[in-house]
Amino acid sequence: MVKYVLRRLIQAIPTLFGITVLVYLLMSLAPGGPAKALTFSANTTPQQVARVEAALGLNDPLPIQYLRWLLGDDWMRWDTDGDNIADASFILPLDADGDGVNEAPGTRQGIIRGDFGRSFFYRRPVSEMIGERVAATLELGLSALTFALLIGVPIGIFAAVRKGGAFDNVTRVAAVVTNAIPNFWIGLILILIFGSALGWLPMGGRADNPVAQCLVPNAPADLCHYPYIYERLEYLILPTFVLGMGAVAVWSRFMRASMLEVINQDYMRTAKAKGLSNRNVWFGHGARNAMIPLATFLGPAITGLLSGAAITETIFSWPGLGRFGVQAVTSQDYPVVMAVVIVGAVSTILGFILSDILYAIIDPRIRFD
Amino acid sequence: MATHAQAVVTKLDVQPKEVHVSRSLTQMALRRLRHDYLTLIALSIIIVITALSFAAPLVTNVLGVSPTRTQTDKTFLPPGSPVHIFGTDDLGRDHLARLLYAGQISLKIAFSAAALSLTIGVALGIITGYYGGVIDDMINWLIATLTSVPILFLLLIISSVLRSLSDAPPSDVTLIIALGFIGWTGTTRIVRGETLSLREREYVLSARAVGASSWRIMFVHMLPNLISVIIITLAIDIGSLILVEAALSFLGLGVMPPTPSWGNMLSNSQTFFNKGVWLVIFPGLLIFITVLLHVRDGRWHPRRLRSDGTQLRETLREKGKGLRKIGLHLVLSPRPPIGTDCADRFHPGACRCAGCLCPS
Repeated sequence: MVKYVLRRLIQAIPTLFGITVLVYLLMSLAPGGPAKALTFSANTTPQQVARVEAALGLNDPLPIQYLRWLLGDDWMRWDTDGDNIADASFILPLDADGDGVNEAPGTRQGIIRGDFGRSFFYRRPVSEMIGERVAATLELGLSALTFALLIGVPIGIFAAVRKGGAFDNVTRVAAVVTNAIPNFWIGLILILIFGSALGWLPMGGRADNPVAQCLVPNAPADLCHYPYIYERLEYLILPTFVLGMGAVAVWSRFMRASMLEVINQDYMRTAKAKGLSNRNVWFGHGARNAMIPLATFLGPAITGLLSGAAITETIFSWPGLGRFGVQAVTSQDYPVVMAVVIVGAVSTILGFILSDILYAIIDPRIRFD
Repeated sequence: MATHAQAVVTKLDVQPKEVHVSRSLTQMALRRLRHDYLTLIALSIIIVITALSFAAPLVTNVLGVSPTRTQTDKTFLPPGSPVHIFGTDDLGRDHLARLLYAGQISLKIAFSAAALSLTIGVALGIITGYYGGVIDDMINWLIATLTSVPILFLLLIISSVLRSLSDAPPSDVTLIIALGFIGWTGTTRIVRGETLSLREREYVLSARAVGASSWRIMFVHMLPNLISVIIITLAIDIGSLILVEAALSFLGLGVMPPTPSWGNMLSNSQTFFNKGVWLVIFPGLLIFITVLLHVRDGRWHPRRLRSDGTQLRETLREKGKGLRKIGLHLVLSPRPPIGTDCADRFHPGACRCAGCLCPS
């Protein structure tokens, strides 16, 4: 098992490497680039732009820029005597701009050590800003996943045990219909109805004291009782529904297919033959086994809900990672875009590995070697 | 026995030659299509929507409306107003005219991007499936890499790069390129899997025996046998691409106003919730109907797939995976459509798959 996990993790390295190269190349293709973005002012002289470019290392060859972004530059040019002027270097020249004075030592640690650089737009470390938004995305993603599981799995079970019946047909049509509707449109319509016309729910945003705060140990009790919880849940209802709606359709169809495979097994007939009630046979014997394959789906679904929430977050002004990424793309904030993409990709890869492990834990018949 | 058959033939007064008339696969496919009313209806609605969109100049001329003429005195006319059947928008532009012109753009993007991604996907799928080895490994690595990146962000980056490269708002061409070059991974996987099994067939062996080149075997002998997979993929791709285009335009990275597309019409109408509900409802409905119908048509396929319908299921599952990544979901019933396996050329009338329903 440990060996399998290790092997999967090692296999993920070339993929991750490919992702970083791909994303870096794409971003470096964009003309203008960071220097233009940083010096966006009418009275910036070309000399100033050149200085910013040299400071950011934009004159170096592309592979070196990539290495600096990936691994940092504190090992490329460093200071040995403490005067904050580099006096030893590797790969990079000591005096990059040729003015006779050595450059300052490298300070970046590279994304491999969690240093995603600073946002051009907010002038703050990207990793810090991502940290602030992860909680919101997790809160929305997990509540949508819970919603999808609670609704989708029972629908799948009932559709399977009454295969071909009215319920099965209605839910099948509903699943196809749900998936053909653009979810941002549904979001807009729901805001229109519940936010604007009826005024029952907020039209967007996230409460100041989000629900997630009540889940941490030693949560302040006065913040977590009924009226406050309700106030915060209000903000969650519409986004959860919009994000989870598509997932309900997916889970219910998946559960139905899985349940149909289980339903003809011998142990189901045995359970029935020994006189168990339908409910006991379906839920006790059937659903428990049918839910095993759902584990393979769980990892990708979690990451899908996290990274796929960009649209939902944008409609509901939910301050999460997806919306952050979309805003960064429109404002050409490259460090942020790359960080969000890398975080998404890493979580996708980890999600797949996680679901395989989960699968093995739940179903002892699965052996990895 | 023979005399009995002859007697029946004589009795019915039918020439034996006509009794044993055989049908080509295409004829059988068309025959099945004729009896599948749901698919026919879906197909005809798609054709009507597409035709109306591409005939937009004609339609607007006949109605005497324009998608660009602003009328400050006629803003937010509700649907059903004289001349403006679908009402007008915030600038007094005719909503129907804009919907039709938007359909032109949205459908053009979806059709072209689907064709592009299909071409890449099928070619790579056949090549990797046929050759295997290092080529297969490399393409698989590329697919694994591409599918690990959240697709929406990949699209956003590519469209923002393309936008800044051309120093102009993203045109439909840049969007087509971006969508086409990202969307091929699912198709490649499916085609590769199918090619792997086709590679072992006798006709491939006999083609090789008479000295056909690899390219000839791949694209003359194997490609026609992949047509069912290709049709399903194409239909579902078109449906999902309409959704993706809408989502991109909604996020402000698709087609830029004043050029209308269904997505950016939806996006723009957000602001006018209270004044013009129809501005939100109509573009959404059009997207929904078009996607639904394409998906519906994807379920119809002319030739039989693997006997148990697993290919269809795999295709849909793969497609579903791709779509889930961008937060747009699409899942269809895993049940193969009616008659999937009933028209087996060699066992007419035999129904060998568990889930298929044969018309009696």
